[in-house]
Amino acid sequence: MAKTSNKIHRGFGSVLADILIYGLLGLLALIMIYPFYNLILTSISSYEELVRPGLRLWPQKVDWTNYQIIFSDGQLLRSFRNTIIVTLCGTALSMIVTTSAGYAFSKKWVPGRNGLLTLFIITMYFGGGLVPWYLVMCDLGFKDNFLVMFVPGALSTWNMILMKNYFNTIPESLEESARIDGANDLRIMIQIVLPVAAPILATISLFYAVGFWNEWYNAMIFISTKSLEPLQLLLRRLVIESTMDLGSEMANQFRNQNKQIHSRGMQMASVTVATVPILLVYPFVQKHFAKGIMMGAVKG
Amino acid sequence: MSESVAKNTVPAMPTQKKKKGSTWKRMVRCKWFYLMMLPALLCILLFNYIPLYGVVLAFKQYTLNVPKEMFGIDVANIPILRFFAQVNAMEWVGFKWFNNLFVKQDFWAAVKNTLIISFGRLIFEFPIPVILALAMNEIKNSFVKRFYQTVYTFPHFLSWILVIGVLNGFLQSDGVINQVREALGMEKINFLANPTLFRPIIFITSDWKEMGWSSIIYLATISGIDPTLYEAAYVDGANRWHCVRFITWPSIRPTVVLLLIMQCGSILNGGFDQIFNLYNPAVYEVGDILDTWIYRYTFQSSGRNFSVSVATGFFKSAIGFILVMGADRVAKWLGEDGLL
Repeated sequence: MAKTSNKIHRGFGSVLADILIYGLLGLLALIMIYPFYNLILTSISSYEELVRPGLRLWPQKVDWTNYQIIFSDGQLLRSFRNTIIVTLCGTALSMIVTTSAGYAFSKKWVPGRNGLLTLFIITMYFGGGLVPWYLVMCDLGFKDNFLVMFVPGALSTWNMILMKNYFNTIPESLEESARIDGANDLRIMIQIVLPVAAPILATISLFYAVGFWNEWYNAMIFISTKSLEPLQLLLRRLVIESTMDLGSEMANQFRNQNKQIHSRGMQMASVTVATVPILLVYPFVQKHFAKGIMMGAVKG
Repeated sequence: MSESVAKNTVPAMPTQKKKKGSTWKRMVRCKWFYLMMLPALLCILLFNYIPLYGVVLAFKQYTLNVPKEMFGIDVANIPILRFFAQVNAMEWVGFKWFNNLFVKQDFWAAVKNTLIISFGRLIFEFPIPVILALAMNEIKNSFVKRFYQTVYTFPHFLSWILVIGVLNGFLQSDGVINQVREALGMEKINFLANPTLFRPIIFITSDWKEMGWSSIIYLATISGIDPTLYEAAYVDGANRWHCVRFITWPSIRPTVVLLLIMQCGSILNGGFDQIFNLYNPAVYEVGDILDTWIYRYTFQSSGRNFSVSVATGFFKSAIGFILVMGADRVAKWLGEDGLL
């Protein structure tokens, strides 16, 4: 393949195409990266730098004041803690529900399996709408309840189908001997099937973890106690609604020392804090995604 | 194949037995599988199917009143039953809320915006990942390719709140774009409060966030193409453009068509998360979509009326149902798997 493509690559038109493609894709990569660079640059800039007109491409000096201020406020750490709890509990619960259902649905001979699966697929396209859902959730006691941030989102039908498709690719012969020995299906799944399904378990747990990390919608609707607020909701109030102040006590101390604080720098520091955890995990799991998506494309 | 395996794993049984009995026996043998499905079934029952019953509120007068009992059962302390009792106790009002809804001008504005934004997405967002995948495929250096893919895909994993937080550095009045404009002696623009710029910003930010992720499915399809096809084409004198045009593109075309049909089926979903976090009263006239309208009407408006919200949701679901079924038909007619 490599040899042939080298041959195809010869010729003026082909070189020109390469220059164009590499150039445009490189430019695109720059467009993707620069906003993040700008984010971090702003978060470590002092007030003087932020108010200076003109474009800044690199920091004059690193200034951690913005981070000091936002972390001096218990609100940020508290919402950080809430989000970590939601992410851990949510991912664990989701994986239990999704893995066991995905495994059961991979067995085509189970009576009623097709009908039940259709019930799941329907939920991907149709729903009762906002208000009926809201009323049922309130009736179930989810109002201002910490559980609302991960229990209703415990099952993603899409992830369950990805899981089912993966289990279908595992040869049945692997389970056969255990089944003849009389092991029950739950034990077979845990002891025999799950160890060979590690790649899909990693991929799906990451999908769930990212989803819970980014959760804000249910929290916005149902959570009214500030101490239960997740990180994303706090950021929404800080960055999008601009209805809150973070670390005002420490900021006032700074102001008393005749130092000025730029709210932009603090906002950017908070956004950085919420982005970095995803940035740290992402490169290690990225290679599994193509596989995961492809399996979803195979229906059955 | 799995059928035959299944038969092997169970003790031999007389095949001529009555059909009903054998199904029951098979079900008993599968009891563990049903047990494993149970938590997931409970999830969709509680969070999808029971709310579906609340759709009848569109034809009823909403009241908070919960009756003490239903069918002789004391329901005051039993969730779900309490919900059913509450809904059942409400008075039927026919199409009152729909008549009420269809004279609201901001409702029709929301319908119009939803359609414009969804069609805009088909034109300005849908083709980008296809082109990106075709271009990425021309890069033969696998390290560069992986690096690009990693970079392009990353924003997909951030919430819209974070993405807007990141892009605020560009869009706000003292953001990067305005600093450049200022340096060039141009006037500052208030990007997020400008009705003419709001929709383009919706499309561009969505492209920025999702194009890399959406291109993965095409890249995966392309990676499944048999390399000997390209070799044979080269022997026959094809150049690179011929290879893209006659080998790569035809191989992803079925996926493109299927995804296009699916997106047409969900044309009434304009993208709540993005728009809700980007819009503000200054751009309601061009940015308010059905989902944001329903949200505001339900939770933020002073004259809120749950029944009108349900009626709007019903209107959206009914048309959405027709669209999805239509998309499903078209997909099957084209020889694809279909959606359902």
